[in-house]
Amino acid sequence: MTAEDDLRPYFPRLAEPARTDITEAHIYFVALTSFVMADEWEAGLVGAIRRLAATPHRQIAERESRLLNRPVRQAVYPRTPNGPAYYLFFTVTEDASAPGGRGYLDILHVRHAARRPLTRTEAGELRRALGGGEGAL
Amino acid sequence: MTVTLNLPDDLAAQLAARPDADAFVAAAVADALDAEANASVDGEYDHDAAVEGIRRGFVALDAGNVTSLDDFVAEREQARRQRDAAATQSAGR
Repeated sequence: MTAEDDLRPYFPRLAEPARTDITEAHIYFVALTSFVMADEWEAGLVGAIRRLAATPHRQIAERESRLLNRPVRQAVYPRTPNGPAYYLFFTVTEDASAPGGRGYLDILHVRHAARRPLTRTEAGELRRALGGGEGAL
Repeated sequence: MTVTLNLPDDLAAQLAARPDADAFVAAAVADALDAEANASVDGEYDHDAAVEGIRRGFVALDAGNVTSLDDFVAEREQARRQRDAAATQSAGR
Protein backbone atom coordinates (compact mmCIF):
# COMPACT_ATOMS: atom_id res chain seq x y z
CA MET A 1 0.00 0.00 0.00
CA THR A 2 1.37 3.42 -0.93
CA ALA A 3 1.01 6.52 1.25
CA GLU A 4 -1.72 7.81 -1.07
CA ASP A 5 -3.72 4.58 -0.75
CA ASP A 6 -3.81 4.91 3.04
CA LEU A 7 -7.10 6.65 3.81
CA ARG A 8 -6.54 7.16 7.52
CA PRO A 9 -6.41 10.85 8.44
CA TYR A 10 -3.32 12.43 9.89
CA PHE A 11 -3.55 13.78 13.44
CA PRO A 12 -3.95 17.56 13.18
CA ARG A 13 -1.93 19.87 15.44
CA LEU A 14 -1.18 23.57 15.65
CA ALA A 15 2.35 24.88 16.21
CA GLU A 16 2.30 27.63 18.84
CA PRO A 17 2.84 30.50 16.35
CA ALA A 18 -0.07 29.22 14.24
CA ARG A 19 -2.27 29.33 17.34
CA THR A 20 -1.23 32.93 17.79
CA ASP A 21 -1.95 33.67 14.12
CA ILE A 22 -5.48 32.26 14.49
CA THR A 23 -6.09 34.15 17.74
CA GLU A 24 -4.92 37.42 16.18
CA ALA A 25 -7.10 36.89 13.12
CA HIS A 26 -10.07 36.13 15.37
CA ILE A 27 -9.50 39.32 17.37
CA TYR A 28 -9.15 41.26 14.13
CA PHE A 29 -12.44 39.86 12.80
CA VAL A 30 -14.16 40.76 16.06
CA ALA A 31 -12.88 44.34 15.77
CA LEU A 32 -13.86 44.53 12.10
CA THR A 33 -17.19 42.72 12.25
CA SER A 34 -18.58 40.73 15.19
CA PHE A 35 -17.97 37.82 17.53
CA VAL A 36 -20.45 35.80 15.47
CA MET A 37 -18.54 36.19 12.22
CA ALA A 38 -15.19 35.74 13.95
CA ASP A 39 -16.46 32.49 15.48
CA GLU A 40 -17.81 31.36 12.08
CA TRP A 41 -14.46 32.06 10.46
CA GLU A 42 -12.65 30.09 13.14
CA ALA A 43 -15.09 27.15 13.03
CA GLY A 44 -14.70 27.02 9.26
CA LEU A 45 -10.93 27.07 9.62
CA VAL A 46 -11.06 24.13 12.04
CA GLY A 47 -13.24 22.22 9.56
CA ALA A 48 -10.80 23.02 6.76
CA ILE A 49 -7.88 21.71 8.82
CA ARG A 50 -9.79 18.49 9.53
CA ARG A 51 -10.40 18.03 5.81
CA LEU A 52 -6.73 18.72 5.13
CA ALA A 53 -5.82 15.98 7.60
CA ALA A 54 -7.69 13.51 5.38
CA THR A 55 -6.11 14.64 2.09
CA PRO A 56 -2.95 16.57 2.97
CA HIS A 57 -0.83 15.77 -0.06
CA ARG A 58 -1.60 19.12 -1.56
CA GLN A 59 0.21 21.90 -3.26
CA ILE A 60 3.84 22.29 -2.25
CA ALA A 61 4.85 25.83 -1.32
CA GLU A 62 7.88 25.65 -3.58
CA ARG A 63 9.59 28.93 -2.75
CA GLU A 64 9.06 28.57 0.99
CA SER A 65 10.21 24.91 0.92
CA ARG A 66 13.34 25.83 -1.00
CA LEU A 67 14.24 28.73 1.31
CA LEU A 68 13.68 26.69 4.47
CA ASN A 69 15.04 23.45 3.02
CA ARG A 70 12.06 21.57 4.45
CA PRO A 71 8.85 20.44 2.78
CA VAL A 72 6.09 23.01 3.27
CA ARG A 73 2.59 22.64 1.84
CA GLN A 74 -0.05 25.31 1.53
CA ALA A 75 -3.81 25.53 1.30
CA VAL A 76 -6.31 28.36 1.08
CA TYR A 77 -9.12 29.20 3.46
CA PRO A 78 -11.63 30.36 2.41
CA ARG A 79 -11.73 31.21 -1.27
CA THR A 80 -13.58 34.41 -2.04
CA PRO A 81 -14.56 35.83 -5.44
CA ASN A 82 -11.31 37.82 -5.44
CA GLY A 83 -9.05 34.94 -4.49
CA PRO A 84 -7.80 33.40 -1.28
CA ALA A 85 -8.28 35.12 2.05
CA TYR A 86 -5.83 33.20 4.23
CA TYR A 87 -3.02 30.80 3.53
CA LEU A 88 -2.44 27.80 5.74
CA PHE A 89 1.15 26.58 5.69
CA PHE A 90 1.65 23.09 7.01
CA THR A 91 3.88 20.05 7.03
CA VAL A 92 3.07 16.35 7.09
CA THR A 93 5.06 13.78 9.07
CA GLU A 94 4.62 10.03 8.79
CA ASP A 95 4.62 8.56 12.31
CA ALA A 96 2.98 5.25 13.19
CA SER A 97 3.01 6.23 16.89
CA ALA A 98 0.72 9.24 16.25
CA PRO A 99 -2.93 8.96 17.34
CA GLY A 100 -4.66 7.16 14.49
CA GLY A 101 -1.43 5.43 13.50
CA ARG A 102 -0.58 7.42 10.40
CA GLY A 103 1.23 10.60 11.31
CA TYR A 104 0.87 14.30 12.02
CA LEU A 105 -0.40 17.27 10.06
CA ASP A 106 1.13 20.35 11.68
CA ILE A 107 -0.14 23.83 10.88
CA LEU A 108 2.92 26.09 10.99
CA HIS A 109 1.59 29.50 9.99
CA VAL A 110 -1.72 31.11 9.06
CA ARG A 111 -1.38 34.26 7.02
CA HIS A 112 -3.60 36.73 5.21
CA ALA A 113 -3.03 36.43 1.48
CA ALA A 114 -2.42 40.12 0.89
CA ARG A 115 0.35 42.26 2.32
CA ARG A 116 -2.16 44.94 3.25
CA PRO A 117 -4.73 44.49 6.04
CA LEU A 118 -8.17 43.07 5.37
CA THR A 119 -10.72 45.74 4.42
CA ARG A 120 -14.36 45.89 5.50
CA THR A 121 -15.37 45.02 1.92
CA GLU A 122 -13.18 41.91 2.01
CA ALA A 123 -14.58 41.07 5.42
CA GLY A 124 -18.03 41.24 3.85
CA GLU A 125 -16.90 38.89 1.06
CA LEU A 126 -15.60 36.50 3.68
CA ARG A 127 -18.92 36.65 5.47
CA ARG A 128 -20.72 35.72 2.23
CA ALA A 129 -18.19 32.97 1.48
CA LEU A 130 -18.63 31.52 4.96
CA GLY A 131 -22.38 31.91 4.84
CA GLY A 132 -22.62 29.16 2.24
CA GLY A 133 -21.23 26.51 4.56
CA GLU A 134 -17.81 25.50 5.71
CA GLY A 135 -15.79 27.53 3.23
CA ALA A 136 -13.06 26.28 0.97
CA LEU A 137 -10.87 23.17 1.02
CA MET B 1 -22.57 18.13 -3.89
CA THR B 2 -22.44 15.62 -6.74
CA VAL B 3 -20.83 16.74 -10.01
CA THR B 4 -20.74 14.73 -13.23
CA LEU B 5 -17.46 14.90 -15.15
CA ASN B 6 -16.78 13.84 -18.72
CA LEU B 7 -13.28 12.35 -18.70
CA PRO B 8 -11.20 10.59 -21.38
CA ASP B 9 -11.45 6.82 -21.00
CA ASP B 10 -7.86 6.37 -19.80
CA LEU B 11 -8.23 8.99 -17.07
CA ALA B 12 -11.60 7.60 -16.04
CA ALA B 13 -10.09 4.10 -15.74
CA GLN B 14 -7.19 5.34 -13.60
CA LEU B 15 -9.57 7.26 -11.36
CA ALA B 16 -11.95 4.32 -11.00
CA ALA B 17 -9.06 2.17 -9.81
CA ARG B 18 -8.44 4.42 -6.81
CA PRO B 19 -10.16 3.56 -3.52
CA ASP B 20 -10.22 7.27 -2.62
CA ALA B 21 -11.50 8.59 -5.95
CA ASP B 22 -13.86 11.20 -4.43
CA ALA B 23 -11.26 12.60 -2.02
CA PHE B 24 -8.58 12.49 -4.72
CA VAL B 25 -10.67 14.49 -7.18
CA ALA B 26 -11.70 16.98 -4.48
CA ALA B 27 -8.05 17.53 -3.55
CA ALA B 28 -6.99 17.85 -7.20
CA VAL B 29 -9.69 20.43 -7.94
CA ALA B 30 -8.81 22.34 -4.76
CA ASP B 31 -5.14 22.35 -5.79
CA ALA B 32 -6.00 23.74 -9.22
CA LEU B 33 -8.20 26.46 -7.72
CA ASP B 34 -5.52 27.31 -5.16
CA ALA B 35 -2.87 27.62 -7.86
CA GLU B 36 -5.12 29.96 -9.83
CA ALA B 37 -5.96 31.98 -6.74
CA ASN B 38 -2.32 32.17 -5.69
CA ALA B 39 -1.39 33.60 -9.05
CA SER B 40 -4.07 36.29 -8.71
CA VAL B 41 -2.64 37.69 -5.46
CA ASP B 42 1.04 36.96 -5.92
CA GLY B 43 1.90 40.58 -6.63
CA GLU B 44 0.78 41.76 -3.21
CA TYR B 45 1.82 38.68 -1.26
CA ASP B 46 4.73 39.08 1.14
CA HIS B 47 6.84 35.94 0.65
CA ASP B 48 9.58 37.02 3.06
CA ALA B 49 7.16 37.53 5.93
CA ALA B 50 5.51 34.19 5.15
CA VAL B 51 8.86 32.40 5.22
CA GLU B 52 9.65 33.98 8.58
CA GLY B 53 6.26 32.89 9.94
CA ILE B 54 6.78 29.34 8.70
CA ARG B 55 10.30 29.27 10.14
CA ARG B 56 8.89 30.21 13.56
CA GLY B 57 6.34 27.42 13.14
CA PHE B 58 9.10 24.88 12.50
CA VAL B 59 11.07 26.11 15.53
CA ALA B 60 8.01 25.60 17.73
CA LEU B 61 7.29 22.21 16.17
CA ASP B 62 10.86 21.01 16.71
CA ALA B 63 10.67 22.18 20.35
CA GLY B 64 7.40 20.30 20.86
CA ASN B 65 5.33 23.47 21.25
CA VAL B 66 2.23 22.12 19.55
CA THR B 67 -1.41 21.70 20.52
CA SER B 68 -3.76 19.12 19.10
CA LEU B 69 -6.58 20.61 17.09
CA ASP B 70 -9.06 18.88 19.40
CA ASP B 71 -7.52 20.54 22.47
CA PHE B 72 -7.56 23.90 20.71
CA VAL B 73 -11.25 23.52 19.89
CA ALA B 74 -12.04 22.52 23.48
CA GLU B 75 -10.17 25.55 24.85
CA ARG B 76 -11.99 27.89 22.48
CA GLU B 77 -15.36 26.39 23.39
CA GLN B 78 -14.63 26.98 27.06
CA ALA B 79 -13.57 30.56 26.35
CA ARG B 80 -16.77 31.09 24.36
CA ARG B 81 -18.92 29.77 27.18
CA GLN B 82 -17.17 32.10 29.63
CA ARG B 83 -17.66 35.00 27.24
CA ASP B 84 -21.36 34.22 26.80
CA ALA B 85 -21.84 33.83 30.55
CA ALA B 86 -20.16 37.18 31.18
CA ALA B 87 -22.36 38.82 28.54
CA THR B 88 -25.50 37.31 30.06
CA GLN B 89 -24.44 38.43 33.53
CA SER B 90 -23.68 41.91 32.24
CA ALA B 91 -27.05 42.15 30.49
CA GLY B 92 -28.82 41.10 33.68
CA ARG B 93 -27.39 43.96 35.71
